Amino acid sequence: MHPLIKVVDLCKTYENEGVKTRAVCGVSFTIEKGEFVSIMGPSGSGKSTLMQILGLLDRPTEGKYFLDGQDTSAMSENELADLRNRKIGFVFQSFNLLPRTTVYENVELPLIYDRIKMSSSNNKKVLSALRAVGIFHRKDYFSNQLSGGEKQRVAMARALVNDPEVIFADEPTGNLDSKTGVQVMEILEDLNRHGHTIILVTHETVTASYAKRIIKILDGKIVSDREVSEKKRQRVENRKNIK
Amino acid sequence: MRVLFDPIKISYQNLNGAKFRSFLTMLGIIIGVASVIVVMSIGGSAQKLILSQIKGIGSNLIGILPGASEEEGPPAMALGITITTLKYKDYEALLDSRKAPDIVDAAAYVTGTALVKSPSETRQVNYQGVTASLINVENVSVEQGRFFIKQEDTNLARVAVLGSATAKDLFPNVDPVGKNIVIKDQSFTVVGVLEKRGSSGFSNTDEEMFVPLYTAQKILLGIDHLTFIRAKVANEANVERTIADVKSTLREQHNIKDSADDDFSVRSTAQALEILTTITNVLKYFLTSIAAISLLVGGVGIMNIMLVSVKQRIWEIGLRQAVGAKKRDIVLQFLIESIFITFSGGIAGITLGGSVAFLSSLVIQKLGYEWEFSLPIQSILFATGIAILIGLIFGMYPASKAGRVSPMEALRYE
Repeated sequence: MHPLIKVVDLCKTYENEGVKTRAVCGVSFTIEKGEFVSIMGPSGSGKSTLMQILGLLDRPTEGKYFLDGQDTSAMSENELADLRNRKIGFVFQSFNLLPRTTVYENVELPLIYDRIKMSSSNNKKVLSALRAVGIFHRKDYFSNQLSGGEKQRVAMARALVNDPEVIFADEPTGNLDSKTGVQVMEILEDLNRHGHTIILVTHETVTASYAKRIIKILDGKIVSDREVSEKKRQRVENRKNIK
Repeated sequence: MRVLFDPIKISYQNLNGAKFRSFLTMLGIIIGVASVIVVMSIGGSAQKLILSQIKGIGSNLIGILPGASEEEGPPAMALGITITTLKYKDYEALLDSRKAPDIVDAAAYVTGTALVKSPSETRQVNYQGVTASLINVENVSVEQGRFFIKQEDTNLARVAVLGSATAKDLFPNVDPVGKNIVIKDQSFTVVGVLEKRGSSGFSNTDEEMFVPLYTAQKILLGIDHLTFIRAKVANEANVERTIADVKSTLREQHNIKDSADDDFSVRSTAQALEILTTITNVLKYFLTSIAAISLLVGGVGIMNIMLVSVKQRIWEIGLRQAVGAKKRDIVLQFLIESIFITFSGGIAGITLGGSVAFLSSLVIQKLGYEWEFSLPIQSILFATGIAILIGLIFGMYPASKAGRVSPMEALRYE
């Protein structure tokens, strides 16, 4: 069995007006199916760049990235779009829902671009994704009629709807108050319990602690990669209970 | 299918969400399409009117004018030049069935203007001195009384037949038949009034007066030449052959050996119809193309708004790419949006232009013209096609710009 994600000596260099900036360099790790991993680091550490590469939104300048055993470096834009569509779900800090569009239609969006699996079961998929994140009762609302927490639930349903191999969550609690943030993290935890691989990008220690493994990044390099101790997870549990 | 249908729905939602701005965006296209429709509709009706008037003269008529002229150019008479080479004996020669066998009948004309007095009124009237055969050649019929006869022509009879409008002007409340009028100090008897016919070609018989040819030449004008001759051909198909017959007859009459020396011109109404059709078509398409320029301006407006839209919705482009949209999906979406805008503007423009043309036709009909409202299906298809094309052309650049957006950059744009 190959790992779900395998990166080898990954580097990303941006060039802006002749000045080269190394965002990420020499990064190697593997992530297995079903893991819940936090990528942590302060802003400017390269964690967002890493997530964009792992999410196939950007290409590395050096190194190899295997997703589900496939080498992605040689793929065309269209092939990458297909992979994003079928194997990856995104949850963003600012939700990124389409305005003047219903919750249902927002969640349905990835299915529209899936030309191969185009099927009559789309409706079922949308409804079950809405149920999984507990936002089913709002399915006919317009996205701009929702609260922040509800919006993020819709975004998670959208990330889920194509039953992807991995869900990337980029600071999913960044725009939410702490209580709603906890609810969102609990949903991610729940999804992980049901077998979804989750990769969380955050700079908050508490949010990161929901994961079972934390990869810390500083100045574009991995500085630590370890399992979250039971003690720490317990602390998070306690905190949740207080709230 | 959804990939096609969704952009249309999105465009509708965007347009519906900002109604006034959408209206302003579309305004250029609405005005452009409306003016194209108005020009095509009114132009088409005007063309029909002009051509029907020419047809009203009769399509199997041949006109013989003094003086040479180019086939396509105007005759000398139209330029105000008097040429005296056409004579009564030419007219007689044309009636010789050995020379021009297809001519059924012909009429000779002189024209003039005179002050005409009835017992109660005085009017400036255009008159035509004509042979009695006019009634067989032209589409005129007598409403009251009779037309003058050949004997009256040869006997210098002082009789007159009035057009319907002239009769009303000179005799507002009485039956003119049998009454006397005075033309150039000579007393004439009104023997008949013509039926109302409306204007045809460049003249209006309703507003004219007819006197015998000889009388007009000798008593009113003091000339012995003719202004023109009209000949009626039995069968429209023989018009061309008869023109040739007329030409050779007149060359013989005038001792002309080389056709380059012709001192007359022969025209058929079919020819005139053809020339006028060409002229009116050119005019119509010229005006349409001017109207279409405003569509280009509208197109630039669409391009502008689409570029703004791409910029405003750059995160949406990024999101769509993140969930699996390919470049071509994005390009298609923006292209469909711009086409949707111009297409909607086109529909609104057709409605507006059609209404304007229809209202104009009501006004023109009220003014007394035999105007027929027409909105040809071709003009609707043309306008719709142009609107879609404008959307396609001016949407291309913004759409390709949207397609070039990198998902990563777009998502950073918040």
